[in-house]
Amino acid sequence: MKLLKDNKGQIRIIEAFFASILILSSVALIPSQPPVEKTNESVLNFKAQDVLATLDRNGFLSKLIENTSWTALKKCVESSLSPAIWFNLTVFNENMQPVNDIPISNGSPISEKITATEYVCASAGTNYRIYIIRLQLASVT
Amino acid sequence: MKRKSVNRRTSGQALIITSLVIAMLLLSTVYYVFEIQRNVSKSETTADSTLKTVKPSTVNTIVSALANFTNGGEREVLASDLSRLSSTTENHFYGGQCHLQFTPLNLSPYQDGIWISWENNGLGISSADVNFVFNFSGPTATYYSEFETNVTTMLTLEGTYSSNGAEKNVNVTCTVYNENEPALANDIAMLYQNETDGPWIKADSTNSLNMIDYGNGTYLVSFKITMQSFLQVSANVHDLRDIFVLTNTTCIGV
Repeated sequence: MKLLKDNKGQIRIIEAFFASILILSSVALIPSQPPVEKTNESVLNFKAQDVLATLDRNGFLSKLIENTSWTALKKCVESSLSPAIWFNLTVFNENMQPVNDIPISNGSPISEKITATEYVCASAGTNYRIYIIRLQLASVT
Repeated sequence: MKRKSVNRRTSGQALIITSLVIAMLLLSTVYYVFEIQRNVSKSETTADSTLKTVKPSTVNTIVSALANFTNGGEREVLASDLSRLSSTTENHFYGGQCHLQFTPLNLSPYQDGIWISWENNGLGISSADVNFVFNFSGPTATYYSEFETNVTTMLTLEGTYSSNGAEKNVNVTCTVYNENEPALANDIAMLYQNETDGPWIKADSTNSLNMIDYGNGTYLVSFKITMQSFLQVSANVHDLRDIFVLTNTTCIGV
């Protein structure tokens, strides 16, 4: 008899429990704001690092620099990036003196927001050299 | 009677509110766990990307130092080149402050990070091994990473000879490996010694020297010589990274 009396509100409680789960789960479905750090600038910086690190496998990048193959280097960077991205690459020696005597770029900047990434490239040849590569990128968006 | 009815209607309210609070607690816990997992994966992506930009330079530096040393350079060139790389990386690293520490392996058979084994057993090894510690501290992430970089050029050599009167036809098989994977050679010089402790003579066109490149790191070198009963051959090889390795072996008559 006492048990029956205690069970009086159970269905209501369960109903309320499910209702609250339903309400709160609908809140969880609202799309959250994109993280602050995932800006266009950081995306371009990661892209620049990725392109240079990929070209640097097996000492390929330093070989292009040591052979002053600037046109080949331009083509490599160009083919690694989307046509909607502007780039300008400058190669410096350890004393930050420019090494490339011709511009390595695909034209004029398409946006005022230009990001620059510096990448350290070590040569794999017997005559050890270190180059600092500055890759500037800009995209339409 | 009326008072009793009101009491009855409000009897489950506290329990309903309690259940709501419990549901909120459960959902907030689930959301918290989800957010933590998302942050961890984001941080791992950043760490992978950052390490990806540092590792090629460390490998290239070790390759350069090993090529330099095996071609007659000083052993100290490895530490010197790594110091240059470390300071340049620290000065020009994008997105935060970094610290690149290196420790050349000093565990036998490595000495100051380098191991050279150019023996008479048909196995030649030129190797360098360095441990790195990379610390990065940026506005959105801080992490610590340890990694080891090993660069090894290995050469195996097997030789046989068959008699054709006083002339002997020598067949030597060389296989080149980079980091235990078959690799191509830049150049191979074959030398022979037809008396114990005698001079090493380079096999050339006068010995009808012929080389077959199988394209998978294996080379079959054949040449003709006049000799007594003893024949030792030596292969001196530069791989495509300019790392030098040599080994000798005694040819077996067939």
